[in-house]
Amino acid sequence: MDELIRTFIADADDCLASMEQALLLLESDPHDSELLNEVFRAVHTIKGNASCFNFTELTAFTHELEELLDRARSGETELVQSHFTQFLAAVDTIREMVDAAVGRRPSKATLTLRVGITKIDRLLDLTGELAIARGHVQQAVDESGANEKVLDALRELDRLAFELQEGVMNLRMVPVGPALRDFHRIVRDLGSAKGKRVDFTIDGEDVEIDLTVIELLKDPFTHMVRNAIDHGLETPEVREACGKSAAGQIRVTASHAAGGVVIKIGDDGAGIDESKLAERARQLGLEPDLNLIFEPGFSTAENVTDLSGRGVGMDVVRRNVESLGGTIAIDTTQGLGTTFTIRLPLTVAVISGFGVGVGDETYILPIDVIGECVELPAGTGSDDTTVINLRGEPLPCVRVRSLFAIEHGTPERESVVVVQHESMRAGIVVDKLLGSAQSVMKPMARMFRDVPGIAGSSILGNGRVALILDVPQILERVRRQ
Amino acid sequence: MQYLTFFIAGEEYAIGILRVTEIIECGAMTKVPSTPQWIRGVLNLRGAVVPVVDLAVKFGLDTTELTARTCVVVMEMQFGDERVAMGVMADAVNQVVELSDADIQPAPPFGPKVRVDYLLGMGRSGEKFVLLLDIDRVLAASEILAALEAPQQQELEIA
Repeated sequence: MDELIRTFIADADDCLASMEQALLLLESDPHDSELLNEVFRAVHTIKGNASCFNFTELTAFTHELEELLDRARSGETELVQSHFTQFLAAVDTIREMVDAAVGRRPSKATLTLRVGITKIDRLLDLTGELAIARGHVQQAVDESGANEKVLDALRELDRLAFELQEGVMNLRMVPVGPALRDFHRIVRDLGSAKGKRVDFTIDGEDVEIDLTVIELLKDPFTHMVRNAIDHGLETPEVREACGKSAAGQIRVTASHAAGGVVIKIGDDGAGIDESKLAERARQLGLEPDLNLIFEPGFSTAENVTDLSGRGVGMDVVRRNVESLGGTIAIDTTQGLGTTFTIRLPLTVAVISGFGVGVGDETYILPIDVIGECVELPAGTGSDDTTVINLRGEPLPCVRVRSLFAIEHGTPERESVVVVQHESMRAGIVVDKLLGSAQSVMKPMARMFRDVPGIAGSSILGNGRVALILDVPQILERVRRQ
Repeated sequence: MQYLTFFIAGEEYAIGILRVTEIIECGAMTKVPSTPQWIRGVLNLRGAVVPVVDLAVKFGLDTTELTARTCVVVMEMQFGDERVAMGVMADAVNQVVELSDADIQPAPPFGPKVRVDYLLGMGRSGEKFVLLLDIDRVLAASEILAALEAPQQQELEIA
């Protein structure tokens, strides 16, 4: 591509970004002349550049926009909300025109991001392969008789390989701020479509998190923000009648906490109506519980809108969060608002895993759900599920062998891995305990993504694939029995 | 056009060589629970987790046995809006043949051990015929998903 065109694109992208940002700020303070000037300058720059390249359509469009803005600058036009909707739509139009003029495929930004992460993942794969190759060397050395010099060299290799893995892992970490910035626009557009005023703030923009986590969180996030605007926040009139500010607050906070990241999404809206929730629970024959909103098909919204309230949503949000090894909790106070707290591991690329053997297969459990391991008491029988006495407490247990229909004889002695997730505790019965190890997570082939009881896969030191157990889902199965 | 031929349960099949990304030795596979018998498991292909299918089982024949010659033909498949690598087990890979349109004729409605709609036709290679596999049909995403949904629901229900 021509160097000049490239500069034109870069300039246009910069201008559009600052224009969008300034418009969003200007909307809450339409009299800020500096912001208005910034918007004007951005449009003017794009127009100037476009006319240099003879992009006539773009020149004409930006010219007209410039006229409108000029009238606002002179005070001839009073800027109201509908203007901002128009201006923001114009940002999108200009973006499309720029793309069309230079023959660029839209959404190039995410494209480069994807390529980036693929390359990083390839590096991570290679570090895993390196560990396997190292294992082969070790084996060869063991077989041919150990030599101190070779062993020293191997240890040095270990250290380097470990550092390399750490380094590659770090490449995946990005601050949450830039990734969440798109939400300013989403919030603004949704709010104005619903006739609600929304102040959107992000705290902790610098907190770093795995790029994959951010990518996979975007959909759940959009859903929760939609919910907050659609059902949480009241209209300005209702808010003022309740003695609240006319504009509702949606606040996202990201922070570090013990080995992970906590992201909170809170609004100061109406909160969840507990009587409605209880009634809906009764209709479905369930005990009222706030966590019901995470169940499929449960929704207290009276009207189904195009935004949310179809009874699909929070269950998907929870599933997405859990598939990242995280948890989600809700806290709501009627009249004061709702806050969702999402806890996530720092990275999904590597988990601290604990290996267990069943038949010929090795499975991995995330180490943070494991409480302890005990031997299955003799004479427990070989039923699919059983209850054992763990220091006086009954512990429901399930056999992986039965869960996955593994056709392989039961060994004489079996072990129980005691796992805990939220308030639920159970034992998972396995043949062998293999010990803990850092495991590089691999996404499951797409077709297997919904296989029950499996959260993902990992590659073992011997090069074989091991499946990672989905402990929350297995516990859920046990609970339903 | 060039085709790769390989044996599954004694029959020689062929697929367009451009579909094949590589041929690997069939190493230890990891069985994925709640999946049909013809999905033999997943394999580590230089760090990527690749599903491996046993077409013999899918065609209603005996399970492919692992021998020194057993290999996995890895190919790119369209799965929804994604392209995924998938492996097909073969008792042995035979050769690469050049087949022109004139060498290819429709598959007879009876004779082959496999459903006719899984075949693109029969190719004449020297004295014998090879069956041209319509791999997009055999491993269609819809078919795989249907097979995955059917058994998995019950299998996790513990008696």
